[in-house]
Amino acid sequence: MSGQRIRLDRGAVEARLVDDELVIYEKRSRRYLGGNATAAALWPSLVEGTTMDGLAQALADSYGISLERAAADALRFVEALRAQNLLED
Amino acid sequence: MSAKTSELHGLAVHTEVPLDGVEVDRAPDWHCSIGPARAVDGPPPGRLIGEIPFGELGFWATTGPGSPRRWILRYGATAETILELDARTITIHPDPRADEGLAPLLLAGSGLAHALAADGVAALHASAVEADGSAISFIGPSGQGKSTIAGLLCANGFPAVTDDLLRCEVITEEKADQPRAFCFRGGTRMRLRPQAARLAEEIGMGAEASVDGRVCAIAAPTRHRRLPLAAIVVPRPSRTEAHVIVERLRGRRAAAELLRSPRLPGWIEPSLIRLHFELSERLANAVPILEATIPWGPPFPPGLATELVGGILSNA
Repeated sequence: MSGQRIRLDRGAVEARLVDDELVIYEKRSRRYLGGNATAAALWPSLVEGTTMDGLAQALADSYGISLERAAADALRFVEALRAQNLLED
Repeated sequence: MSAKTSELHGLAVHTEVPLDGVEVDRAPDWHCSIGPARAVDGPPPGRLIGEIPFGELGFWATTGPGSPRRWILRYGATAETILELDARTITIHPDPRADEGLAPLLLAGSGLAHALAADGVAALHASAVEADGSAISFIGPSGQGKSTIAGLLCANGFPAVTDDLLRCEVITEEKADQPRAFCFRGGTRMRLRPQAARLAEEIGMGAEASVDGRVCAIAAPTRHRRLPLAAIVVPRPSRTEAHVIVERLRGRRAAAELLRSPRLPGWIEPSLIRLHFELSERLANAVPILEATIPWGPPFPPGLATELVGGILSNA
């Protein structure tokens, strides 16, 4: 899974930054979602398309945390996005 | 009754419907009239762009049929309003079952909010007053005390900016680092719920009955048609706190309060939902969003207006 390509379904969501946090408009269900600063740090990579390894590295670089912890945080966020059907298949 | 041109929310509206605006001498943006009465039941024909289900008293908005430049708004058992976007006309057809005095309320609130939306302008469900040359606005769902607290401030000498509908704009001026937000004067009669109507009496404001069962407190309006927006405040009425507590909201929490406060809820059309999404993000990045815990009445504690405005401006 760590090398598998992950990308946001860009037709399904729009996001904006407010004070380094994310505000997300989910178009299918016309809901608004929020994301913390970690989500905001990962968002650009997810828009472009990345891998779990890439996300973990981006997070470790942004926050100066261990790669192991960054991988766990990134996985939690990606699972949350997948549960909301916000990732491309 | 003769027609005149009044300005609310930056729009010049020519109509014989009595509006709570300032008479202006310029070309109207919209012409509004009362059309023949008709029974209003169920959604209108055309493509549904907005809906608030509430049985026979629901609300529906469609475009067409045949023309996306015609918006039909149906307020069940109350009225049908037709906006011709190219001709810039608004026609209200009252339902014979409804109180005929509802037309001014429908036009000044929902009607003009839809006219703004048709021009790509979102608006907040908010009341506002002027303080130190800027506007302080109060947002939140119905019943949260927006009009009551704005009325309290007006009674203490702060001019009214608007009640119910707040048109805002965010501008990044040339050579400026930060965007700035502004808002427009709207209707300045504060519509209070019956339980808050005692406030008008308590604070000595003039008041008159409203056809929708509320009481209109008559406030002195601001003389500015457009003001800088100093703060957007989420009021939290409290029966236990003795003093005002003001906290600044940031990030997604600030944005969430704005997203919860559109003047027009119930949009289905994505481009219209996006208008409010974009306005909320821009405001959250340009204006302090504050949460104010407010000792509640009536009776309201003496000095509350000064304490509240001071607390807001010191956090803005």
